[in-house]
Order: sequence, then C-alpha cells, then structure tokens
Amino acid sequence: MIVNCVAVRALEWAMVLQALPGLACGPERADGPLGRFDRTIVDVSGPEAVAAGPDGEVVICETGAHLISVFDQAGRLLRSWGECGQAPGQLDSPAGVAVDGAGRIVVADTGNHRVQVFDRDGSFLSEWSGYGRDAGRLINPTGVAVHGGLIYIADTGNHRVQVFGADGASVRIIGQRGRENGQFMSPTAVAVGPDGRLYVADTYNHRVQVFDADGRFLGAWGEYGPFPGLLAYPTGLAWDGELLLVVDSRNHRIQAFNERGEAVHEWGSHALWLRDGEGRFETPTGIAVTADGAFAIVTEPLEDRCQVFGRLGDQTLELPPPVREQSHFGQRLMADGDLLVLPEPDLHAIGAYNITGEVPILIGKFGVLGAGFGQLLHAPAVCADATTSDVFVSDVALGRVQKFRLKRDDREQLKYIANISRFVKSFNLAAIGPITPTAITRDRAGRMYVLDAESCRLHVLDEDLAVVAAWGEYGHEPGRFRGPTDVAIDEARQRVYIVDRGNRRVQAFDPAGAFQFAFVPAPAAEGIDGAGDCWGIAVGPDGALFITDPTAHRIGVFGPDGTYVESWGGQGEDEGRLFKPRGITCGPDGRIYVSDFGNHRVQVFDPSGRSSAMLGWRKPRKLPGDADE
Amino acid sequence: MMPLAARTALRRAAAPGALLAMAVCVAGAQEAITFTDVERARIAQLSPLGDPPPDPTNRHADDPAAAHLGRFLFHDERLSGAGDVSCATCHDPARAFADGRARAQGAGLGPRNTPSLLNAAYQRWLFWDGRADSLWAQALQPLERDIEMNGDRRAIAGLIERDPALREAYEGVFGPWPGNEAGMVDRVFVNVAKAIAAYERTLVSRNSSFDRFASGLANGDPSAMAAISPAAQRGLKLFVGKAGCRMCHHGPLISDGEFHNIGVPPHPEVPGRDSGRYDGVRLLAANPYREDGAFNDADPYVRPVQVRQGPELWGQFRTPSLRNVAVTAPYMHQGQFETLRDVIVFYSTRDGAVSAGHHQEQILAPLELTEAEIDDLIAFLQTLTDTNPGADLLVPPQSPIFRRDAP
Amino acid sequence: MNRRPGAGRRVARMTGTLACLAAASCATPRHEAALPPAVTPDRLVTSNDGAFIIAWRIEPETLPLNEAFGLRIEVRDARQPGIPLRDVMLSVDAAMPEHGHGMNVIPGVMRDRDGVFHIRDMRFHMPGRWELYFDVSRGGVTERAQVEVHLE
Repeated sequence: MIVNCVAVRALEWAMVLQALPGLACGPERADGPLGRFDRTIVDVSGPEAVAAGPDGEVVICETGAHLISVFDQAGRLLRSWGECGQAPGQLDSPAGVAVDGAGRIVVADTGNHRVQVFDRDGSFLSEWSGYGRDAGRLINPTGVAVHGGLIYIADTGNHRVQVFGADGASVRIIGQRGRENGQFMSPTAVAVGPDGRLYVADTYNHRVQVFDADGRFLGAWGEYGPFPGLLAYPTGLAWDGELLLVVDSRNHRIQAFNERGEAVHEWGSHALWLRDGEGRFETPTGIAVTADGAFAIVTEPLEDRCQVFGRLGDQTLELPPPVREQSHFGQRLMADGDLLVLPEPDLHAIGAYNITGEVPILIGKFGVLGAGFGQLLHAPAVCADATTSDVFVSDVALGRVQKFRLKRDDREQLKYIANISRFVKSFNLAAIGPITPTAITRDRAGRMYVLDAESCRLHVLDEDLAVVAAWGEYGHEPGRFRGPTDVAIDEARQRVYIVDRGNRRVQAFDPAGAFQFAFVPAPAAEGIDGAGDCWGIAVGPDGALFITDPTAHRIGVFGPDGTYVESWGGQGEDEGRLFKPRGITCGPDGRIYVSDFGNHRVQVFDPSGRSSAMLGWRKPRKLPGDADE
Repeated sequence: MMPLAARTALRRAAAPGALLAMAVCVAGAQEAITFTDVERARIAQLSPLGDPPPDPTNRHADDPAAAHLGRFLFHDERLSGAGDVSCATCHDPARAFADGRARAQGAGLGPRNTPSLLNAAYQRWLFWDGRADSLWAQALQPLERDIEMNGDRRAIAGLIERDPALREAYEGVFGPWPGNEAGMVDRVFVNVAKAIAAYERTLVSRNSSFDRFASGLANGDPSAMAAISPAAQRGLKLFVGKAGCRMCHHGPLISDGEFHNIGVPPHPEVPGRDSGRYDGVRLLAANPYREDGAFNDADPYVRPVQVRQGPELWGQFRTPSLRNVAVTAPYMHQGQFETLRDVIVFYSTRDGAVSAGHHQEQILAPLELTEAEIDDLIAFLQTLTDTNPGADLLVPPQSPIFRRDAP
Repeated sequence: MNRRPGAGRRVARMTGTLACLAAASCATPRHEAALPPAVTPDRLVTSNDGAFIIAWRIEPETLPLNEAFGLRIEVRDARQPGIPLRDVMLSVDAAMPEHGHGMNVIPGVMRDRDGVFHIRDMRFHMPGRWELYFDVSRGGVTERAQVEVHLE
C-alpha cells in the first residue's frame, strides 16, 4: 500500500518540470494587449514622468521646463503651471508625478528634493521635505505612487523608498543602498499593485523588487540584458489590469510582466533615425495607463515628446528583431595629450581614441560588464593620463575608481589594438565613506578629484586613498552646491572649477578647497533661451572655460574669471549644431570635444568655434521616400 | 575582455615544425595527406574514448543487475501515464537513441530536440540547458513531465510493488521493499531512475572508423589509417584547424560539455524564446535531485563546484558530442537544421545568426569555407558513427530479473 | 562532483611576463625529463603597478583542458619578496578576452597557516589563449597581477 506522497516537494518539482521555455501566459483581454502606436504628444520639454488623471486627462512632468502640463485624450493642452524656483508652487526639474483618488496631483519636485501637492487646476496645496538623508528628507526623488491614503516616493539619491502620510509625515523607510534583496541602487519608480503590494523599479540593479504593505521584501526579478525578462535600467512602472508594465529604458522597449515576474509581452524597439518615433523609442523613461485601460502613454525626455499606444485587438505585434549592434556614447569624455577616452555605457566599455589629427581615430576599446575587479557595472565617468597611458574609470554602482593601463604602439600610433588595456588597480571609495563618484578628474601630481553629486561634495584623493582635501555640502552659499555635475582643473592658475548646476552657476576654488569666486555662465546679452543652464566644463590652454548648456544647446566660452566671450552651437542636427550637449573636454591644441548627447555623437570644434569633425551613430533624419530598415 | 568589435576569425594555421610525411594509399586515390605535429597532437585528443567516469552519486551505477533492470524499465511503457510512452519512444535504439525528429513527441509535442543517449554517461550536464547534473537526475524528469511520459511516482512505485517480476528485480538490486516508511515513494522513484541510469551508462559508442584511423595515425599504421577516406582526412584537418570546431568540440567526447550561444535562429514554430542555460542554472539550483541533495549516494563532504550564473548565459545550450552526429539529424536545440550541410553552411556564412547581445561571448565569425571544404568536413563527421553499443543493449530483456546466464 | 567528458591527453604551453625561479625547470634537457625535480618550481609575476610579486604554480603540474585544477599562490611585497604577505586578500579569476568570456565555474580560495593561498575548482573549458588574474587587495586598494596561458 503506497502512502506518503511528498506534497510539498511535488509542488516544487512541478515548477522545475514546467518552468521551460516559451512566453509565460498573462490574462487574456478581448481588446488585446497594449502596443499599437496611436500618436505622439510633441513639444513637451524633457518629460521624465506621466500620470493618468480623471476623465482621460494625461498629466505630464515637463522636467526640462519645470512645468506640469495636463492634456486631454486627443492630445490638446488643457492647462499648465510651474516655473523654476524654490518657493512653494515653484518647481525645479520635477521628475515624478501621480494623481490621487480625489484628482490631486502629487509631484516629486526633484531638484528641490521635496514633494508638492496641487489640486486639479494647479493650485498649490502643500509641500514637504527637503534635501537630506534623515527620515523625512529626500535626495533627488523621482518616482511617486499614491495608494490607500499613503504617498510612496522613490527617494533615488538615498537609494530607498520613503512612504509619507497625506500630511507629509514620514511613515516608513524601505531599503538602503546596495545590491542585495531589499536594497536599492537609484530606484526611480514605484507602483502599488492590485494586490496591495509595492513594486519598485530598482534601476541601477536592473530589476523590479516587490514588498508587502509593511515593507517586507517578498521577491525580485530581472537582471541586466536585452532578452525577454531581462532589463536595462528600468525607470517606469504602470499597471495594466494585472500586468505590470515596465519601461525598459536602455532596451528601448516596454515589457509586461505577470505577478510572478514572468515576461508576458513586450513592445517597442530602438529608434532607427534621429528623432524617429512611430512606436520606436529613444530611451523612454515614464509610463502611465489611462483609467479605462485604453491607452498607455510613454515619455521620452531626450526627444521632448510622449508616445501614446492603444490596444492591439487581435493584431499580433511582431517581436522586434533581436538586438543589433547599437551603442551610444556616454555623457562624459576626457582628453589628455593625444588620448581621448569616451565611455559607451551600453557595451560597458570605454573607447580610446588618438586625437593627434582632426578626426579622432579609435585605437581600442576595453571593458566588460560585471562587478568583479577590472569589470564595469555603471561607469559613466573617465579621465586619462596620456603620459602614462593610464585611464581612470569611476563606477557609480560599485562606488569605486579603477585604473587601467593602455598598450600604445609607438611606431603605428593610429593602429587599432585588440586587447588594448589591462586592469591595474581598483580604489574602493567605501574605505573612505559612502561616495558616489559622479565625475572624476586628475591633476598633474596624480591626485584624483572625485565629485559626488548626491552628497554635493568634492573629494581629493591620492593613490593610497588618503584624503588630501574634501569640501562642499548641499546649499546655496558659496562653497555649497546643489546638484553639481562636473569638475575641471586649471593647473596653471591652480584652480578647481565645479559646475553647480542646481544653483545655475560655476564656482572656482583653490586645490585645498578655498572658495575663490563664482559666476553665472550666461551671456550678458538677452535673448538666448535657457541661458544659465550648465552641465559640463573644460579648461582651454590659456585658461578659457568652455561650458555646455543643454537647454540652449550651446557651448558658452568664458574667460578664466568667468567673463562671457562667445557662444557656439545652437539647437539642431547639422554640423556645428548641438542638441542637449553634456560633457566637454579640451585637447592639448585647444580643440574642444563635446558629447552632443541628444544627437548621439561627439562633435569636435577647433579653437575658433568651427565644427571640424564628428564621431558616432548619426543616422540622418528619415527623408520622404526612405524605406524603413 | 573585448566586447567586440573586431570579430576575429580564429584561423589556426598549421604551426611550422617537422612534418612527418605519410603516404596513404586508398583504392583509387593517389594523393598523400600529411599531418603536422600540431594536428597529430590535436587528433590524439579526440580518441580513444576511455571508460565512462565513475558516478559516485549512484551506488548502482556499474551494477549489472541494476543495468539489466534499467534496460527493462527503459522500454516499459507502463511507466507512463497513459501506458503508451516509454523512454525508448523518444530515445529509440534503432535511431541512435534519438528520434530523428526536430522536436520530441512523447505524450505531447516538446519544445526541444531529443538528444542521443549514446555516450550520455560522459556528459557533465544533462539536458540542453544542463538542469540535471547526473544521469539519474535527468531520467526522473521525463517520467513525470506532462508532455513526455506524463507518469506519476506513486503509480510507478505501485506498479513495481504489484508486479512480481519487477518487485523481485527491484529487491534484487535495491534490497527489501521499503514498506510504509516516510519518503518511500521518492526513494523508489529515485531508484528507478538510478537503474535506468545504470543501463544508460552501458550505451557507449567509441569504435567508429575515425577511432580506427586515429589509432593508426598514432601508431604509424597505414592500413588502419585507411579506415577513413582522403576526403574525411582533409575534413579532419579542417576540424582541428581553420574551421575551429575544436574550440567547443574537443576531447574524446568531441564536446566540452559546456554551454555556448552560437546565435542559432529560433525554430519558427516554437513560441517564445528559449533561454537555455540561463534558466537551466536556476532550475539546477531548484532541483532537489542535484548531486549534493539528499539522494546522492556519494561522500556527503564532497563540496560541489559553484557554477557561474548571469545574463551572459541567456540562449546558451550544451555542446553536443559529435560522435554519431551523421545519424542524429535534425540538429540544434529545436532541431532547426535538417542536415549536416545546413549546420556547416550556418557556421560558414553565419547567415541568419541571431545576435547574442553585447555581453555574450563572441566566438564565431564566418568561416567562408569552399564547397569542397564543406564536403570534406561532412565526410569526416560521417566517420564518427558507431551506433551499436551491443545488439543486446538495443532491446529490452525478457525479464527484469537479472540472471548472470540469461539474456 | 566534477566529471570530465572523458580521458584525454592534456597539453599546455605557458608564457607570461615573468622570471623563472628555478632556471633548470625552463630548460630541462630532454634526456633528463625522466628525473622528477626535487622541488616543483614556482613561476613569478609582478603586479601591474609594481607593488607585489606573485609566486604561483598549477596543481597538478600541467594545465589540463576542461578539467578541474588548482593553484598554489604566494603574495609577496615587491620590495621585500622573502615571505608571503598576510595582510592581503586574494581573488583569482580568468578569461579568454578574444572570446569575451571567462570560466563557467567559481573557484574557491583558501589560505593556510603560512599565508599561502590554495585555489581549487579552476577549469579552463576551451583551448586557446587565457589570461589568469591575481587580484591582491589591501585596505581599499586592489592591484592585479596577470599571466597569459595558451592551452592546446
């Protein structure tokens, strides 16, 4: 007589037997899944987030213009409010929004590190919090969800989720910085499911994590990759019935998962041309689904637009072709001597170029994805030393700087060298403290200048990881920063310049950190849009300063004391034009290399401001009559 | 590591060195094919195939009585839910223990191609995705999988308990019937699999004409070297040379037993995309019948090796052994290629290859072989055939009870 | 437990930026090959920024293809290379850079009372050019020493 069937093990066993290939099943809908391209909402400035309002309204954060804009179903602008500032009701680069049951609009006012609540018409109701690491404080909050009278905030710069009551009191803090279960690395979106559970887009860990109503970790799914079920910087979450839609931003697609974390459906593929749309994406970030489930709205801040998708009915959406070789340059780059180093974040690689001539020539690429030594996880910032052929790469996800040494061919300097680098050393910044190495540069004496944008602090370190100097904290006064983005050194004048973007100014210090002066990087003359926004800085051979303005799409040229000289660029895709430029660096002969980020290329200017060369993926705009690829 | 822009074709030029000229006289052929020292060393790695490595996780692995019982069970359709499918249904002894189909057809149509069981005892990992790490752990799964045999362990244990011959055979190998102890159904079920595994260990195939040639080459015996044609010899030179096959198809098993993504396009009729080793590692981790689990007969203090896990495993599948490849069409994990020529043309042109993403291994560039070279490679691969491990191993015994003198 | 795909000949040829500790091992005349050496010699490699000297050897002596092997490693200060350092951590990895992959297994690292590191469960599953990495960490700084190995 047989007894004792082991029921529990049989259940696990069934999972092993059944968990075999094929797409998982999701709930069936008569009108099909989402993914049919419907239309585009244009002329919205850098929209990072979107929420669905009542009556089919669509609420968009125009992050670049510091506005909240409300559109109707047909895409007409109904109302808009906000202006750049810190007073109640003013906004600074808001990147998260949600609509509560009463139609109130809750905004993550990112640049002001606070939450603001408006009523439907945009009248200011309340605000709370501010910059800080304590409970109740926020750093760069970028995701909002509202559920059951509570407000969930993706507290990105603190690498946690914070839950507030409607009165702004901090109710709970979930998680901390890290890569283990229940820890986060720059989470940027939150959503509460129909099951009452909290879902978090753990962006730099390339996964979605799930928590219960008390904040206890339940599970997680996803890791870095282009295949179904894998993610690359998930940045937006929205529920479509019982499916969770995830904006898989660097895979340029939306994936739908069931509650077990199985990939059920996906739509979207990478843009084929500059400014392409029609259902193809360029780094989408936010998503919302209308209350009736008829449409999904996806934001693309780089393209200043949102795309709207309806349901497919019984059409089948062709799965996009498997990933082709596509790569974008990163936002930062650095030149020294005859060497230019340029990260390619999609490949987790760094490119090295010889810049003796007018056109940079690729002489090698190195880098591989991973957390081990010599590998890169999220490494956007680089600097190089051409005399020793050393390249320093800072890894924001792992909190370290790594040194690589390049093989140089003295006889054939322009020859491509396979296996060009060897990993030499890793500097684990955690040995000093929790430092996020957002930007890095180096002086001639070999000291590393590491800018931590989250803590608003600059650290000067030697290669034994001794702290030579450190200064800065959050604030408006001289010597304090708000969202600093870049650092550059003028050896001759012994100055350290820091782009204090949030305060719309550039500050100059001596190498020990004593404040020298500050200036607004804007022309004295009126009439140039967005003047004063600044991102990257480079120092020319005679001390001139070259500062990128991503909002005016220009490079501002200033004297060493900050006096305005002239502007190059202007918005556009042609030679000499720029679109959302970011990093900038100067070659030894005065040539300027700029990351023309919105045009997915690097542009080279000669010292007179003439565009002399370009690098990179620059598919021209589609012309009438061009066939789709 | 280089993620890759220069797709380097790994072309192995013959190294300079003392050439040993061997005149090979095959009927009608006048050409002399010579092998360099490097080629000889590489060919010597491919043969002979020794005895299967021991499997300490299965104390009955080399027990003839267990293998005899296993041979009986292998062909016994009563193990399946509907009584119409046995292991031999898909692992057909007359078809090199595969089934000649693109995808397996048991109780239902499966998503993957049936691998041959010949030489399975030499593989480190079982299944295309390596989710089992021993022969017996593999044998368990099809027994209970709905689209394979759709059986149930309680029913199987009940069958053995009630069938006198099976009962006696079982007790002859595994000792007295467990009775109503806790976990007895699982233990019987695992023992069934271990018996089948013991049988599968006897399915050794290592006497192909290539093996005779390799022996002849090593010993300087021209008549043994005549075992394969000049075309096959040229193909062999390509195999260990510029075609680069031995990167993954090396050793006497002619497989590294590891996992690679070579960009084979998915079969159009299979829905979704097969993640291969990526989910295989997770399933291995969840597998209660792993070698470090409770049913392992080996020394419990042997620490198992940690396997690397990560997204680079996506789409990787186990390198098949090329022994008997000529008779185990169709090829690849979903039977995507019908003929050997299709496979070699795929490697040669890389037409239709699916990109493996930025962070996957990048081993393959188009070989650009000539038609003659493709023919030669096929001729060589055909010399790897030896499908008969022993005539009596191909059919079930009359009785599951092992008697040393009986068939 | 590791099972190999079958008995096979194992041949390895090694190069690297290093000095042979015992010259005899590098140039053993063919007729003397039958005599076992008294002490299996270590190979030496200097780390990439010159801080350390790694003395290492493979166990068993020849590197097998697609089979488990181990390493015996001593980490020494480049300025005082006499005895193994004890205030360092070691991690070992390997890769085939031309292919873009590493090993499929994770080696285990153990240190004995004398400060000597013993690595187990290494396995090079493909022939070709491998790079073997020794990453030495002290405080927050890690420095790499590496050698190149050609496996036939």
